Amino acid sequence: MRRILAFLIAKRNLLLFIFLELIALGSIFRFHRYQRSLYLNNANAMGASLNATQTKWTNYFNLEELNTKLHKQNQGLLAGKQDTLDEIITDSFGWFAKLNLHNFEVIDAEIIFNSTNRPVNTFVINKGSRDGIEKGLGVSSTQGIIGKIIEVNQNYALGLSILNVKSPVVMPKISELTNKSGSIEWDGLNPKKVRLKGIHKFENVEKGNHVVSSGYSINFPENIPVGIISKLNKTNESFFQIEVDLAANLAQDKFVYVFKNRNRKQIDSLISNPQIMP
Amino acid sequence: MKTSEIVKYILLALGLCLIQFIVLDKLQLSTYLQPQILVLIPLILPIQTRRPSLFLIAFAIGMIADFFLNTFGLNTFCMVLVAYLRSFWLPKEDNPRPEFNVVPSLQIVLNPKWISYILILSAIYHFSYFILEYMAIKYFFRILLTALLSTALSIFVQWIIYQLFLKNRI
Repeated sequence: MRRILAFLIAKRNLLLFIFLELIALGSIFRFHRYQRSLYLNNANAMGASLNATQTKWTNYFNLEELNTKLHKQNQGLLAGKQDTLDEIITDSFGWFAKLNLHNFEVIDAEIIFNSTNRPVNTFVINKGSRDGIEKGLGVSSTQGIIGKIIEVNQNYALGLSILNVKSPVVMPKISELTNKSGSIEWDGLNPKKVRLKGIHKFENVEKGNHVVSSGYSINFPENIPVGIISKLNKTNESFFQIEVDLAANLAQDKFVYVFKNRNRKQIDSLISNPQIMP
Repeated sequence: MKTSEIVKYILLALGLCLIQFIVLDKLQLSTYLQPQILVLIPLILPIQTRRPSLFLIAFAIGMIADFFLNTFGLNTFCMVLVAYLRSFWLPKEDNPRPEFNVVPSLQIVLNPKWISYILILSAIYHFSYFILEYMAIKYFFRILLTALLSTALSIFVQWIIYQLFLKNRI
């Protein structure tokens, strides 16, 4: 016993080092499993609050651009010019008007922190559990899908960006081909492009086809834009190599919509019930 | 360490966290350029700091940084690792040799011994940071390149910060 104690005392620095590293590793692995994270608790609300303040200031400098855009939209509305109105609708909400939101509640929010240059990018929005945000909900900007919520506190929520090399956030399909879903993969380099995988070579895919959410996931309604196919390569493998230009501009989009499936709890309880699984 | 010195290091740590949080993380220069300047903190703590204190300081600062930066333990892990490894470059705290009885600040970075100290430990910090962030062996060469480029930029930024704010204070 004495020897053990003497050993522990002699190696106390090393043991303390190992102990602290294990705590840090525990946090990292929790995050990488996307089950839960230690950090979006009250203490991290400080960070989110700092982000919110900074966003408030940076938004001030973007007011001119926003004003110009609104002015253009107003002009179009006042003049009743069909072309301008069509342009406005196509620019921003064309796809939104066509969504089947029967089972979904839409919560608007603002991004207060966002990264695009990391292998696993995240964003923070200014709405939390108080506003009905929950883990797993899908998030899109006015342009297209940007990610899903992975952690929530009272006032803020943390999202996993579509730009991550670890875990796909949406199950997409090509809107021109019915019921052909694939998977999205990001290479970690270009924040404007992703790859669409799992589309077989005999499918009639073309450059310019639209990639949208498939509706097979409870996180997103069907037909939210993911992007447009910009490159198509046939390889020796059975599947196409497809490059997709993302619809959303992850670096600039500020205003987002969170989609909350009203039947989510019922569907979750069915999926997670081990007794009904074969 | 005197109370005034402790306060000085806490302020420095908070200042570096803010620069990392408000400036460097927002710049988003490139996937290959992600300088982490917090590595400076365990490197410039006084040589006499006892190792358990050093580890705990590094751990606490890493946790604070992770809270702010949404990095989930990455900074904590790397900070404690560098705090542990720095002792291989420095003499033991209970037997300080007079020639080493200084803060290993950037003030003396021109000395070849300190260049290797700053360079190698910064590179280890960045390399371990990106390995843990990617957590996939298929990205090894990208991790290596990112670590090298980010280390170079990080040292440049550290040098600018030192020239602007710390030259006459540390």
